[in-house]
Amino acid sequence: MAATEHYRHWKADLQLCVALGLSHLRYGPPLHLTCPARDRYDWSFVDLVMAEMKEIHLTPIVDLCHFGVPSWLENFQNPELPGALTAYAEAFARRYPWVRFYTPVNEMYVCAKMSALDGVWNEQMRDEKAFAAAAFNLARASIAMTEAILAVRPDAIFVNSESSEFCQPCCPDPEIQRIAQFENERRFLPLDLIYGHSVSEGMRRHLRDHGIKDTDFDGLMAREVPRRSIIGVDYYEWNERLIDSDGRARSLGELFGWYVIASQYYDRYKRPMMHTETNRMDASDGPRWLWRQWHNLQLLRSTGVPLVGFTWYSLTDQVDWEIALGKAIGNVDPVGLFDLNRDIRSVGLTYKRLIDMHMDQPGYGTCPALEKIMAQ
Amino acid sequence: MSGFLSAHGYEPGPTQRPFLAGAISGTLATAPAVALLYVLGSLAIEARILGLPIAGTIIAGWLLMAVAGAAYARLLGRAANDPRGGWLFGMAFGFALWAAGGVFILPLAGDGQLPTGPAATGVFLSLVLWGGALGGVLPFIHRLLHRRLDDVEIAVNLGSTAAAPGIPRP
Repeated sequence: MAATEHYRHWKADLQLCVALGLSHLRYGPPLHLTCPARDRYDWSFVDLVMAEMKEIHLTPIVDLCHFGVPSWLENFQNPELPGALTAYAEAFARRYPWVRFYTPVNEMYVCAKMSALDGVWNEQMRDEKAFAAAAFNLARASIAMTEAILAVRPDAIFVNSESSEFCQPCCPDPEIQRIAQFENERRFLPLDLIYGHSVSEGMRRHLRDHGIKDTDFDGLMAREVPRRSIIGVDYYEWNERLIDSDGRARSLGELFGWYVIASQYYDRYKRPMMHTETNRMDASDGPRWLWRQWHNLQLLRSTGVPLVGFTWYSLTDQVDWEIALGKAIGNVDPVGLFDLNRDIRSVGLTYKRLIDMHMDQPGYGTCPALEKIMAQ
Repeated sequence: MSGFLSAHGYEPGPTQRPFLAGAISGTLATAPAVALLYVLGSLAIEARILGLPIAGTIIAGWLLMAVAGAAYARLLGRAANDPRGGWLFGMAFGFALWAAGGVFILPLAGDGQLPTGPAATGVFLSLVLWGGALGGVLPFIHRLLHRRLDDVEIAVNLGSTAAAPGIPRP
Protein backbone atom coordinates (compact mmCIF):
# COMPACT_ATOMS: atom_id res chain seq x y z
CA MET A 1 0.00 0.00 0.00
CA ALA A 2 2.94 2.29 0.64
CA ALA A 3 4.43 1.52 -2.79
CA THR A 4 1.17 2.37 -4.53
CA GLU A 5 1.07 5.63 -2.53
CA HIS A 6 -2.30 4.77 -1.04
CA TYR A 7 -1.30 6.31 2.28
CA ARG A 8 -0.85 9.61 0.45
CA HIS A 9 -3.79 9.37 -1.96
CA TRP A 10 -6.25 7.43 0.22
CA LYS A 11 -8.96 10.06 -0.06
CA ALA A 12 -8.67 10.30 -3.83
CA ASP A 13 -8.65 6.49 -4.00
CA LEU A 14 -11.95 6.30 -2.16
CA GLN A 15 -13.36 8.90 -4.54
CA LEU A 16 -12.34 6.70 -7.45
CA CYS A 17 -14.54 3.96 -5.99
CA VAL A 18 -17.45 6.38 -5.89
CA ALA A 19 -16.76 7.47 -9.47
CA LEU A 20 -17.04 3.86 -10.59
CA GLY A 21 -20.35 3.46 -8.79
CA LEU A 22 -19.12 0.93 -6.23
CA SER A 23 -21.23 0.32 -3.15
CA HIS A 24 -18.84 -1.97 -1.22
CA LEU A 25 -15.06 -2.00 -0.94
CA ARG A 26 -12.84 -4.80 0.34
CA TYR A 27 -10.41 -2.75 2.42
CA GLY A 28 -7.41 -3.89 4.45
CA PRO A 29 -6.37 -1.41 7.14
CA PRO A 30 -2.58 -1.65 7.64
CA LEU A 31 -2.33 -4.10 10.53
CA HIS A 32 1.40 -3.53 11.07
CA LEU A 33 0.92 0.23 11.46
CA THR A 34 -2.31 0.09 13.43
CA CYS A 35 -1.07 -2.48 15.91
CA PRO A 36 2.64 -1.64 16.41
CA ALA A 37 2.89 -3.51 19.73
CA ARG A 38 0.86 -5.85 21.88
CA ASP A 39 -2.38 -4.16 22.97
CA ARG A 40 -1.18 -0.85 21.58
CA TYR A 41 -3.07 0.71 18.72
CA ASP A 42 -2.53 3.70 16.49
CA TRP A 43 -5.81 4.45 14.78
CA SER A 44 -4.74 7.77 13.30
CA PHE A 45 -4.76 6.61 9.67
CA VAL A 46 -7.65 4.17 9.93
CA ASP A 47 -9.83 6.78 11.66
CA LEU A 48 -9.47 9.08 8.66
CA VAL A 49 -10.25 6.39 6.12
CA MET A 50 -13.20 4.96 8.02
CA ALA A 51 -14.70 8.40 8.60
CA GLU A 52 -14.42 9.17 4.90
CA MET A 53 -15.99 5.85 3.89
CA LYS A 54 -18.87 6.51 6.23
CA GLU A 55 -19.25 10.02 4.84
CA ILE A 56 -19.37 8.93 1.20
CA HIS A 57 -21.53 5.84 1.92
CA LEU A 58 -18.96 3.33 0.75
CA THR A 59 -19.54 0.14 2.74
CA PRO A 60 -16.25 -1.44 3.82
CA ILE A 61 -15.64 -5.16 3.95
CA VAL A 62 -12.79 -4.91 6.43
CA ASP A 63 -9.92 -7.30 5.78
CA LEU A 64 -8.19 -7.50 9.16
CA CYS A 65 -5.24 -9.79 8.42
CA HIS A 66 -3.95 -10.00 4.87
CA PHE A 67 -0.90 -12.26 4.56
CA GLY A 68 1.31 -10.57 7.12
CA VAL A 69 1.66 -9.71 10.78
CA PRO A 70 3.51 -6.91 12.62
CA SER A 71 7.15 -7.72 13.37
CA TRP A 72 6.47 -8.10 17.09
CA LEU A 73 4.07 -10.95 16.32
CA GLU A 74 6.80 -12.70 14.29
CA ASN A 75 4.94 -15.11 11.99
CA PHE A 76 2.17 -17.67 11.63
CA GLN A 77 3.99 -20.31 13.68
CA ASN A 78 3.58 -18.16 16.77
CA PRO A 79 0.98 -19.73 19.11
CA GLU A 80 0.21 -16.25 20.45
CA LEU A 81 -1.11 -15.20 17.02
CA PRO A 82 -4.80 -16.05 17.55
CA GLY A 83 -4.93 -14.19 20.85
CA ALA A 84 -3.20 -11.10 19.52
CA LEU A 85 -5.33 -10.91 16.37
CA THR A 86 -8.47 -11.47 18.40
CA ALA A 87 -7.61 -8.52 20.62
CA TYR A 88 -7.07 -6.43 17.47
CA ALA A 89 -10.38 -7.56 15.95
CA GLU A 90 -12.25 -6.73 19.14
CA ALA A 91 -10.59 -3.32 19.40
CA PHE A 92 -11.45 -2.63 15.76
CA ALA A 93 -15.08 -3.64 16.17
CA ARG A 94 -15.42 -1.48 19.28
CA ARG A 95 -13.87 1.54 17.58
CA TYR A 96 -15.97 1.25 14.41
CA PRO A 97 -19.26 -0.26 15.60
CA TRP A 98 -20.99 0.74 12.36
CA VAL A 99 -18.80 -1.66 10.33
CA ARG A 100 -20.73 -4.83 9.61
CA PHE A 101 -18.70 -6.75 7.01
CA TYR A 102 -15.45 -8.44 7.93
CA THR A 103 -12.85 -10.77 6.47
CA PRO A 104 -11.02 -11.83 9.64
CA VAL A 105 -8.13 -13.54 7.80
CA ASN A 106 -7.74 -13.37 4.03
CA GLU A 107 -6.84 -16.45 1.95
CA MET A 108 -5.68 -18.66 4.80
CA TYR A 109 -4.61 -21.49 2.51
CA VAL A 110 -2.42 -19.23 0.36
CA CYS A 111 -1.03 -17.53 3.45
CA ALA A 112 -0.04 -20.83 5.08
CA LYS A 113 1.33 -22.24 1.83
CA MET A 114 3.43 -19.23 0.87
CA SER A 115 4.73 -18.80 4.43
CA ALA A 116 5.34 -22.37 5.54
CA LEU A 117 5.46 -24.57 2.45
CA ASP A 118 6.88 -22.38 -0.32
CA GLY A 119 9.26 -20.38 1.88
CA VAL A 120 8.36 -16.96 0.48
CA TRP A 121 6.53 -14.99 3.18
CA ASN A 122 6.80 -14.52 6.93
CA GLU A 123 8.44 -17.60 8.51
CA GLN A 124 9.83 -18.64 5.08
CA MET A 125 9.72 -22.35 5.88
CA ARG A 126 9.37 -25.35 3.57
CA ASP A 127 7.95 -27.89 5.87
CA GLU A 128 4.70 -29.89 6.07
CA LYS A 129 4.64 -29.58 9.84
CA ALA A 130 5.05 -25.81 9.61
CA PHE A 131 2.23 -25.68 7.05
CA ALA A 132 -0.12 -27.59 9.33
CA ALA A 133 0.79 -25.34 12.25
CA ALA A 134 0.25 -22.18 10.18
CA ALA A 135 -3.07 -23.41 8.77
CA PHE A 136 -4.32 -24.27 12.25
CA ASN A 137 -3.08 -21.03 13.73
CA LEU A 138 -4.76 -19.01 10.99
CA ALA A 139 -8.01 -20.94 11.33
CA ARG A 140 -7.95 -20.55 15.11
CA ALA A 141 -7.29 -16.83 14.68
CA SER A 142 -10.13 -16.46 12.18
CA ILE A 143 -12.56 -18.26 14.49
CA ALA A 144 -11.56 -16.31 17.58
CA MET A 145 -11.66 -13.00 15.69
CA THR A 146 -15.12 -13.85 14.37
CA GLU A 147 -16.36 -14.56 17.87
CA ALA A 148 -14.81 -11.37 19.24
CA ILE A 149 -16.47 -9.30 16.52
CA LEU A 150 -19.82 -11.02 17.09
CA ALA A 151 -19.59 -10.18 20.78
CA VAL A 152 -19.45 -6.50 19.82
CA ARG A 153 -21.59 -6.62 16.69
CA PRO A 154 -23.91 -9.65 16.84
CA ASP A 155 -25.22 -9.07 13.31
CA ALA A 156 -21.79 -8.89 11.69
CA ILE A 157 -21.37 -10.59 8.31
CA PHE A 158 -18.20 -12.51 7.47
CA VAL A 159 -16.70 -12.86 4.02
CA ASN A 160 -14.24 -15.73 4.31
CA SER A 161 -12.12 -15.25 1.23
CA GLU A 162 -10.05 -18.10 -0.07
CA SER A 163 -8.10 -18.69 -3.22
CA SER A 164 -9.82 -21.18 -5.49
CA GLU A 165 -7.39 -23.92 -6.36
CA PHE A 166 -7.58 -27.05 -8.43
CA CYS A 167 -5.07 -29.70 -9.44
CA GLN A 168 -5.58 -31.96 -12.45
CA PRO A 169 -3.46 -35.13 -12.68
CA CYS A 170 -1.61 -35.39 -15.96
CA CYS A 171 -1.82 -39.15 -16.31
CA PRO A 172 -3.05 -42.41 -14.76
CA ASP A 173 0.12 -42.83 -12.67
CA PRO A 174 -1.21 -43.70 -9.15
CA GLU A 175 1.34 -41.42 -7.48
CA ILE A 176 0.35 -38.44 -9.66
CA GLN A 177 -3.32 -39.20 -8.96
CA ARG A 178 -2.56 -39.34 -5.23
CA ILE A 179 -0.75 -35.98 -5.27
CA ALA A 180 -3.60 -34.30 -7.16
CA GLN A 181 -6.20 -35.80 -4.83
CA PHE A 182 -4.24 -34.74 -1.77
CA GLU A 183 -3.76 -31.17 -3.04
CA ASN A 184 -7.42 -30.97 -4.00
CA GLU A 185 -8.30 -31.77 -0.41
CA ARG A 186 -5.57 -29.67 1.16
CA ARG A 187 -6.90 -26.54 -0.59
CA PHE A 188 -10.03 -26.83 1.55
CA LEU A 189 -8.27 -27.39 4.86
CA PRO A 190 -8.46 -23.87 6.41
CA LEU A 191 -12.10 -23.45 5.33
CA ASP A 192 -12.86 -26.97 6.63
CA LEU A 193 -11.46 -25.91 9.97
CA ILE A 194 -13.45 -22.70 10.28
CA TYR A 195 -16.65 -24.21 8.87
CA GLY A 196 -16.38 -27.44 10.86
CA HIS A 197 -16.36 -29.61 7.74
CA SER A 198 -14.99 -33.11 8.19
CA VAL A 199 -11.87 -34.19 6.31
CA SER A 200 -10.89 -37.56 4.89
CA GLU A 201 -9.18 -40.14 7.05
CA GLY A 202 -6.04 -39.64 4.93
CA MET A 203 -5.96 -35.91 5.65
CA ARG A 204 -6.65 -36.55 9.32
CA ARG A 205 -3.70 -38.95 9.44
CA HIS A 206 -1.52 -36.44 7.61
CA LEU A 207 -2.37 -33.74 10.13
CA ARG A 208 -1.75 -36.12 13.03
CA ASP A 209 1.63 -37.08 11.54
CA HIS A 210 2.54 -33.42 11.33
CA GLY A 211 1.86 -32.32 14.84
CA ILE A 212 -1.87 -31.56 15.00
CA LYS A 213 -3.49 -33.14 18.04
CA ASP A 214 -6.84 -34.88 17.64
CA THR A 215 -8.22 -32.85 20.52
CA ASP A 216 -7.34 -29.58 18.74
CA PHE A 217 -8.90 -30.80 15.51
CA ASP A 218 -12.06 -32.10 17.17
CA GLY A 219 -12.40 -28.83 19.08
CA LEU A 220 -12.67 -26.89 15.81
CA MET A 221 -15.03 -29.44 14.26
CA ALA A 222 -17.46 -29.17 17.17
CA ARG A 223 -17.87 -25.44 16.79
CA GLU A 224 -21.10 -23.80 15.71
CA VAL A 225 -20.45 -21.77 12.56
CA PRO A 226 -21.92 -18.24 12.41
CA ARG A 227 -24.97 -18.08 10.18
CA ARG A 228 -23.90 -14.93 8.37
CA SER A 229 -20.85 -16.36 6.64
CA ILE A 230 -20.11 -15.89 2.97
CA ILE A 231 -17.45 -17.84 1.10
CA GLY A 232 -15.26 -15.59 -0.99
CA VAL A 233 -13.67 -17.42 -3.90
CA ASP A 234 -10.75 -15.70 -5.58
CA TYR A 235 -9.62 -16.77 -9.03
CA TYR A 236 -6.56 -16.04 -11.13
CA GLU A 237 -5.28 -17.66 -14.29
CA TRP A 238 -2.67 -19.65 -12.33
CA ASN A 239 -5.13 -21.22 -9.88
CA GLU A 240 -5.67 -24.33 -11.97
CA ARG A 241 -2.64 -26.59 -12.08
CA LEU A 242 -1.55 -29.74 -13.77
CA ILE A 243 0.32 -32.28 -11.66
CA ASP A 244 2.95 -33.25 -14.18
CA SER A 245 4.65 -36.62 -14.55
CA ASP A 246 7.46 -35.41 -12.27
CA GLY A 247 4.92 -34.68 -9.53
CA ARG A 248 5.30 -30.92 -9.84
CA ALA A 249 2.40 -28.53 -10.28
CA ARG A 250 2.33 -26.42 -13.43
CA SER A 251 -0.12 -23.65 -14.17
CA LEU A 252 -2.85 -24.67 -16.59
CA GLY A 253 -4.31 -21.26 -17.26
CA GLU A 254 -8.09 -20.98 -17.41
CA LEU A 255 -9.09 -24.59 -18.15
CA PHE A 256 -12.32 -25.31 -16.26
CA GLY A 257 -12.87 -21.73 -15.10
CA TRP A 258 -14.28 -20.06 -12.03
CA TYR A 259 -17.72 -21.64 -12.46
CA VAL A 260 -16.41 -25.19 -12.09
CA ILE A 261 -13.93 -24.49 -9.30
CA ALA A 262 -16.28 -22.25 -7.33
CA SER A 263 -19.00 -24.91 -7.65
CA GLN A 264 -16.70 -27.35 -5.86
CA TYR A 265 -16.42 -24.91 -2.96
CA TYR A 266 -20.17 -24.37 -2.91
CA ASP A 267 -20.92 -28.08 -3.00
CA ARG A 268 -18.67 -28.58 0.01
CA TYR A 269 -19.92 -25.78 2.24
CA LYS A 270 -23.36 -24.78 0.88
CA ARG A 271 -22.99 -21.16 1.86
CA PRO A 272 -23.61 -17.88 -0.02
CA MET A 273 -20.71 -16.99 -2.24
CA MET A 274 -18.84 -14.01 -3.62
CA HIS A 275 -16.19 -13.68 -6.31
CA THR A 276 -13.71 -11.85 -4.12
CA GLU A 277 -10.64 -11.33 -6.34
CA THR A 278 -9.53 -11.57 -9.92
CA ASN A 279 -7.37 -9.65 -12.36
CA ARG A 280 -5.17 -10.00 -15.40
CA MET A 281 -1.46 -9.22 -15.60
CA ASP A 282 -1.81 -8.14 -19.22
CA ALA A 283 -3.68 -4.84 -18.97
CA SER A 284 -4.84 -4.96 -22.58
CA ASP A 285 -6.60 -8.27 -21.87
CA GLY A 286 -8.31 -7.02 -18.71
CA PRO A 287 -11.72 -6.27 -20.26
CA ARG A 288 -11.94 -9.73 -21.85
CA TRP A 289 -10.99 -11.41 -18.58
CA LEU A 290 -13.42 -9.32 -16.56
CA TRP A 291 -16.38 -10.20 -18.78
CA ARG A 292 -15.46 -13.88 -18.83
CA GLN A 293 -15.36 -13.91 -15.04
CA TRP A 294 -18.71 -12.15 -14.97
CA HIS A 295 -20.25 -14.73 -17.30
CA ASN A 296 -18.93 -17.49 -15.03
CA LEU A 297 -20.61 -15.74 -12.13
CA GLN A 298 -23.86 -15.43 -14.03
CA LEU A 299 -23.85 -19.12 -14.88
CA LEU A 300 -23.32 -20.12 -11.24
CA ARG A 301 -26.05 -17.73 -10.16
CA SER A 302 -28.44 -19.25 -12.67
CA THR A 303 -28.03 -22.64 -10.98
CA GLY A 304 -29.45 -21.19 -7.77
CA VAL A 305 -26.22 -20.49 -5.89
CA PRO A 306 -26.68 -17.31 -3.82
CA LEU A 307 -24.03 -14.88 -5.05
CA VAL A 308 -23.51 -11.52 -3.43
CA GLY A 309 -20.62 -9.78 -5.18
CA PHE A 310 -17.92 -9.57 -7.80
CA THR A 311 -14.55 -7.99 -7.04
CA TRP A 312 -11.66 -6.86 -9.21
CA TYR A 313 -8.26 -6.80 -7.54
CA SER A 314 -7.27 -4.10 -7.23
CA LEU A 315 -8.34 -0.49 -7.38
CA THR A 316 -4.89 0.64 -8.53
CA ASP A 317 -1.93 -1.10 -10.11
CA GLN A 318 0.29 -3.03 -7.74
CA VAL A 319 4.05 -2.98 -7.17
CA ASP A 320 6.02 -6.25 -7.18
CA TRP A 321 2.77 -8.18 -7.02
CA GLU A 322 3.87 -10.56 -9.79
CA ILE A 323 6.65 -11.84 -7.56
CA ALA A 324 4.26 -12.05 -4.59
CA LEU A 325 6.07 -9.13 -2.94
CA GLY A 326 8.92 -11.54 -2.27
CA LYS A 327 11.43 -8.75 -2.98
CA ALA A 328 11.16 -4.98 -3.12
CA ILE A 329 12.18 -4.42 -6.74
CA GLY A 330 9.67 -1.73 -7.65
CA ASN A 331 8.14 -3.31 -10.77
CA VAL A 332 4.69 -2.01 -11.56
CA ASP A 333 2.06 -4.65 -12.30
CA PRO A 334 -0.72 -3.11 -14.41
CA VAL A 335 -3.55 -5.07 -12.78
CA GLY A 336 -5.56 -2.14 -11.44
CA LEU A 337 -8.78 -0.49 -12.44
CA PHE A 338 -6.63 2.64 -12.31
CA ASP A 339 -2.91 3.05 -12.89
CA LEU A 340 -0.62 4.51 -10.23
CA ASN A 341 -1.25 8.03 -11.55
CA ARG A 342 -4.91 7.24 -10.82
CA ASP A 343 -5.79 7.34 -14.53
CA ILE A 344 -8.45 4.81 -15.37
CA ARG A 345 -7.52 1.70 -17.32
CA SER A 346 -9.72 0.06 -19.93
CA VAL A 347 -10.69 -2.59 -17.41
CA GLY A 348 -11.78 0.14 -14.99
CA LEU A 349 -14.05 1.56 -17.61
CA THR A 350 -15.34 -1.94 -18.33
CA TYR A 351 -16.07 -2.50 -14.64
CA LYS A 352 -17.98 0.77 -14.54
CA ARG A 353 -19.87 -0.30 -17.65
CA LEU A 354 -20.79 -3.56 -15.92
CA ILE A 355 -22.07 -1.68 -12.87
CA ASP A 356 -24.04 0.84 -14.94
CA MET A 357 -25.55 -1.96 -17.03
CA HIS A 358 -26.85 -3.90 -14.03
CA MET A 359 -27.50 -1.24 -11.41
CA ASP A 360 -31.19 -0.90 -12.19
CA GLN A 361 -31.77 -4.52 -13.08
CA PRO A 362 -33.84 -6.63 -10.65
CA GLY A 363 -31.59 -8.63 -8.34
CA TYR A 364 -28.49 -6.48 -8.83
CA GLY A 365 -28.94 -2.94 -7.49
CA THR A 366 -30.28 -4.62 -4.38
CA CYS A 367 -29.03 -8.15 -3.93
CA PRO A 368 -31.67 -10.60 -2.66
CA ALA A 369 -29.04 -13.10 -1.49
CA LEU A 370 -27.31 -10.43 0.58
CA GLU A 371 -30.56 -9.03 1.92
CA LYS A 372 -31.48 -12.51 3.10
CA ILE A 373 -28.18 -12.83 4.97
CA MET A 374 -28.56 -9.37 6.49
CA ALA A 375 -32.08 -10.13 7.67
CA GLN A 376 -31.12 -13.40 9.36
CA MET B 1 12.67 2.42 -19.37
CA SER B 2 11.14 0.02 -21.88
CA GLY B 3 10.12 -2.21 -18.98
CA PHE B 4 8.51 0.76 -17.29
CA LEU B 5 6.62 1.67 -20.45
CA SER B 6 5.44 -1.85 -21.12
CA ALA B 7 4.34 -2.26 -17.50
CA HIS B 8 2.17 0.82 -17.76
CA GLY B 9 0.87 -0.19 -21.16
CA TYR B 10 1.53 1.52 -24.46
CA GLU B 11 -2.03 2.69 -24.88
CA PRO B 12 -3.07 5.97 -23.26
CA GLY B 13 -5.98 5.74 -20.84
CA PRO B 14 -9.51 6.01 -22.20
CA THR B 15 -10.07 9.34 -20.46
CA GLN B 16 -6.83 10.91 -21.69
CA ARG B 17 -6.24 13.40 -24.48
CA PRO B 18 -2.55 12.75 -25.11
CA PHE B 19 -2.16 14.75 -28.33
CA LEU B 20 -3.76 17.88 -26.95
CA ALA B 21 -2.03 17.63 -23.57
CA GLY B 22 1.31 17.00 -25.26
CA ALA B 23 0.92 19.86 -27.74
CA ILE B 24 0.03 22.34 -25.01
CA SER B 25 2.85 21.11 -22.77
CA GLY B 26 5.32 21.19 -25.65
CA THR B 27 4.32 24.77 -26.40
CA LEU B 28 4.70 25.86 -22.78
CA ALA B 29 8.05 24.10 -22.42
CA THR B 30 9.39 25.97 -25.45
CA ALA B 31 9.47 29.30 -23.59
CA PRO B 32 12.46 28.51 -21.32
CA ALA B 33 14.19 26.71 -24.20
CA VAL B 34 13.95 29.80 -26.45
CA ALA B 35 15.26 31.96 -23.61
CA LEU B 36 18.27 29.68 -23.25
CA LEU B 37 18.88 29.65 -27.00
CA TYR B 38 18.81 33.45 -26.97
CA VAL B 39 21.16 33.81 -24.00
CA LEU B 40 23.74 31.43 -25.47
CA GLY B 41 23.55 33.00 -28.90
CA SER B 42 22.25 29.86 -30.55
CA LEU B 43 19.03 31.44 -31.79
CA ALA B 44 20.69 33.86 -34.16
CA ILE B 45 22.98 31.16 -35.56
CA GLU B 46 20.09 28.73 -36.08
CA ALA B 47 18.12 31.50 -37.86
CA ARG B 48 21.08 32.17 -40.12
CA ILE B 49 21.57 28.45 -40.93
CA LEU B 50 17.88 28.01 -41.71
CA GLY B 51 17.71 31.25 -43.65
CA LEU B 52 14.85 32.61 -41.57
CA PRO B 53 14.40 35.77 -39.55
CA ILE B 54 14.71 35.29 -35.78
CA ALA B 55 10.95 35.77 -35.26
CA GLY B 56 10.25 33.19 -37.98
CA THR B 57 12.72 30.77 -36.42
CA ILE B 58 10.97 31.14 -33.05
CA ILE B 59 7.53 30.59 -34.57
CA ALA B 60 8.73 27.56 -36.57
CA GLY B 61 10.43 26.19 -33.45
CA TRP B 62 7.29 26.69 -31.40
CA LEU B 63 5.15 24.79 -33.93
CA LEU B 64 7.70 22.02 -34.19
CA MET B 65 7.91 21.67 -30.42
CA ALA B 66 4.11 21.49 -30.12
CA VAL B 67 4.15 18.55 -32.54
CA ALA B 68 7.09 17.01 -30.69
CA GLY B 69 5.20 17.40 -27.39
CA ALA B 70 2.15 15.63 -28.84
CA ALA B 71 4.38 12.83 -30.11
CA TYR B 72 6.01 12.52 -26.69
CA ALA B 73 2.65 12.25 -24.90
CA ARG B 74 1.40 9.60 -27.31
CA LEU B 75 4.59 7.59 -27.39
CA LEU B 76 5.12 7.46 -23.65
CA GLY B 77 1.43 7.01 -22.86
CA ARG B 78 0.74 6.54 -19.17
CA ALA B 79 4.40 6.86 -18.21
CA ALA B 80 4.32 10.49 -19.37
CA ASN B 81 1.62 11.20 -16.77
CA ASP B 82 3.87 10.42 -13.82
CA PRO B 83 4.38 13.66 -11.88
CA ARG B 84 7.51 12.32 -10.18
CA GLY B 85 9.32 10.72 -13.09
CA GLY B 86 7.91 12.78 -15.96
CA TRP B 87 10.76 15.29 -16.02
CA LEU B 88 13.28 12.48 -16.43
CA PHE B 89 11.37 10.87 -19.30
CA GLY B 90 11.04 14.30 -20.85
CA MET B 91 14.79 14.98 -20.60
CA ALA B 92 15.48 11.61 -22.24
CA PHE B 93 13.08 12.52 -25.03
CA GLY B 94 14.73 15.95 -25.37
CA PHE B 95 18.11 14.26 -25.66
CA ALA B 96 16.78 11.93 -28.35
CA LEU B 97 15.32 14.92 -30.16
CA TRP B 98 18.72 16.66 -30.04
CA ALA B 99 20.37 13.55 -31.44
CA ALA B 100 17.82 13.37 -34.23
CA GLY B 101 17.38 17.08 -34.91
CA GLY B 102 20.52 18.88 -33.80
CA VAL B 103 22.94 16.24 -35.00
CA PHE B 104 21.14 14.65 -37.95
CA ILE B 105 18.49 16.90 -39.47
CA LEU B 106 19.92 20.39 -38.86
CA PRO B 107 23.11 19.73 -40.87
CA LEU B 108 20.97 18.46 -43.75
CA ALA B 109 18.54 21.38 -43.56
CA GLY B 110 21.39 23.84 -43.17
CA ASP B 111 23.38 22.54 -46.11
CA GLY B 112 26.20 21.27 -43.92
CA GLN B 113 26.32 24.30 -41.61
CA LEU B 114 26.21 23.59 -37.87
CA PRO B 115 26.22 25.67 -34.70
CA THR B 116 29.60 25.39 -33.00
CA GLY B 117 31.04 26.35 -29.61
CA PRO B 118 28.60 27.90 -27.08
CA ALA B 119 25.86 28.02 -29.73
CA ALA B 120 26.06 24.24 -30.17
CA THR B 121 25.99 23.81 -26.40
CA GLY B 122 22.93 26.08 -26.35
CA VAL B 123 21.09 23.87 -28.86
CA PHE B 124 21.85 20.77 -26.80
CA LEU B 125 20.95 22.32 -23.44
CA SER B 126 17.80 23.97 -24.75
CA LEU B 127 16.43 20.66 -25.99
CA VAL B 128 17.22 18.89 -22.74
CA LEU B 129 15.67 21.79 -20.82
CA TRP B 130 12.65 21.68 -23.12
CA GLY B 131 12.28 17.95 -22.49
CA GLY B 132 12.54 18.36 -18.74
CA ALA B 133 9.97 21.16 -18.76
CA LEU B 134 7.69 19.17 -21.07
CA GLY B 135 7.87 16.07 -18.89
CA GLY B 136 7.43 18.13 -15.74
CA VAL B 137 4.41 20.09 -16.89
CA LEU B 138 2.56 17.39 -18.88
CA PRO B 139 1.19 15.40 -15.90
CA PHE B 140 -0.56 18.51 -14.65
CA ILE B 141 -1.84 19.71 -18.04
CA HIS B 142 -3.05 16.16 -18.73
CA ARG B 143 -5.16 16.16 -15.57
CA LEU B 144 -6.84 19.41 -16.53
CA LEU B 145 -7.85 17.87 -19.84
CA HIS B 146 -9.19 14.57 -18.49
CA ARG B 147 -12.55 13.56 -19.83
CA ARG B 148 -15.15 12.67 -17.21
CA LEU B 149 -15.81 8.96 -16.79
CA ASP B 150 -19.44 9.44 -17.76
CA ASP B 151 -18.42 11.17 -20.99
CA VAL B 152 -16.25 8.38 -22.27
CA GLU B 153 -17.80 6.33 -24.99
CA ILE B 154 -17.51 2.63 -24.29
CA ALA B 155 -15.76 1.09 -27.24
CA VAL B 156 -17.03 -2.23 -28.54
CA ASN B 157 -13.96 -4.01 -27.21
CA LEU B 158 -14.86 -2.96 -23.65
CA GLY B 159 -18.49 -4.09 -23.79
CA SER B 160 -19.83 -7.52 -22.93
CA THR B 161 -18.73 -8.93 -26.28
CA ALA B 162 -15.13 -8.47 -25.11
CA ALA B 163 -15.49 -11.91 -23.53
CA ALA B 164 -15.74 -13.49 -26.96
CA PRO B 165 -12.44 -13.73 -28.81
CA GLY B 166 -14.38 -14.23 -32.04
CA ILE B 167 -12.72 -17.46 -33.11
CA PRO B 168 -14.31 -18.46 -36.45
CA ARG B 169 -15.77 -21.92 -36.86
CA PRO B 170 -13.84 -23.75 -39.57
